[in-house]
Amino acid sequence: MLLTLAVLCFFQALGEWVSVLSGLPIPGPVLGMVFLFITLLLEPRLSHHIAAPAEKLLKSMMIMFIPVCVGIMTSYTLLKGQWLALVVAIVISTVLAMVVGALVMQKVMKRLEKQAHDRQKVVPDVE
Amino acid sequence: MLNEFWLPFTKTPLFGILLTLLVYALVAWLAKKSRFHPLVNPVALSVALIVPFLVYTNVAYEDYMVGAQYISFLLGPATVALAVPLARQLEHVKKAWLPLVCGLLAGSLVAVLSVVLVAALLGAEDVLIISLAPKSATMPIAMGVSEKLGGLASLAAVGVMGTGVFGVMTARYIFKIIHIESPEIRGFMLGLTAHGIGVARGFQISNEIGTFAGLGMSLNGLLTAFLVPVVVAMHFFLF
Repeated sequence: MLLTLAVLCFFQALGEWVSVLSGLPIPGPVLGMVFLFITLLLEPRLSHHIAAPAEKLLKSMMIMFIPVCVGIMTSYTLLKGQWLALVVAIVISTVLAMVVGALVMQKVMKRLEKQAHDRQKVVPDVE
Repeated sequence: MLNEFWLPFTKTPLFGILLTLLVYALVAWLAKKSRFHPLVNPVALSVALIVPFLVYTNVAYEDYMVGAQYISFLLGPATVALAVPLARQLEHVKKAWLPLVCGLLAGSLVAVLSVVLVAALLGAEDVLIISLAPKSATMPIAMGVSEKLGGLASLAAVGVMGTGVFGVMTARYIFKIIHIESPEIRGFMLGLTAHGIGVARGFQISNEIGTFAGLGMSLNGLLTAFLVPVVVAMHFFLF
């Protein structure tokens, strides 16, 4: 657990450093994830040491959002009279994005499957 | 007598940590009892318990955060940890790269465009529109991007959180209505629209859904960082 935390924090620090150096609008932890991903591809043995604790950490991810969410209590006055716009915009946009994205993915997947299927059919004819 | 202990106690790190852990233990137990029903969302329930408690006991958010920040801190290492299941399921992800890219472009564009359009039509102020634009991105990206463009980080946080909680509570029903069963699509869209909360929800269901959610969250975060400035510029041009 502690070794894993050390590895994760190290990559996060690396990510923060590159984020500041490059001026990209990408936060350090996301860059850190990219770096750890590349490292895991180059050195798959590292995965054995950190996989179990890392996945345990991911299973407890929900609790980490609670403190920031509680901060809603401080933005209450900022939103005066705009709650309806906020809620409606979030609801419509979230549903739309989920539906459109999922349908596009499904369409592409089905087309790929059909192509693979057709190719299989062609093979016996060639023989 | 109680105040002699209580007032100093609420200013120590122990207070925020203990309160969050206790409330989370309770709601996690409830979530498990409900067999992880999407409407029994641990984040939403915890906020609904902690905010009234703090207001009632007159504890400021800053005092709560003295301890709770250590729990928030873990989000950084947890985000980095997403690389682990991603590397493990690389073959699986590679096979689906084309649908993933198409879903990313479609979902990301619709998420940013529609929220700006609807908020503008409902007469929201520009500050709110800019703060809401990156609402499907992961928190640090959303806060950074909206602040850079003249939004407010705290408003962006409200938008991101509302989106995440609403997304994970309704995803199962939406997918059912439009007949989506593939775990790759469900996971990817969950992470794309509901960012980290979607990922956390994904890992509640299965490692596969969680992995694809992590992928959706990361890719959408990166794309949103570049899309939002363009869409906001378009908004100012049109309205």
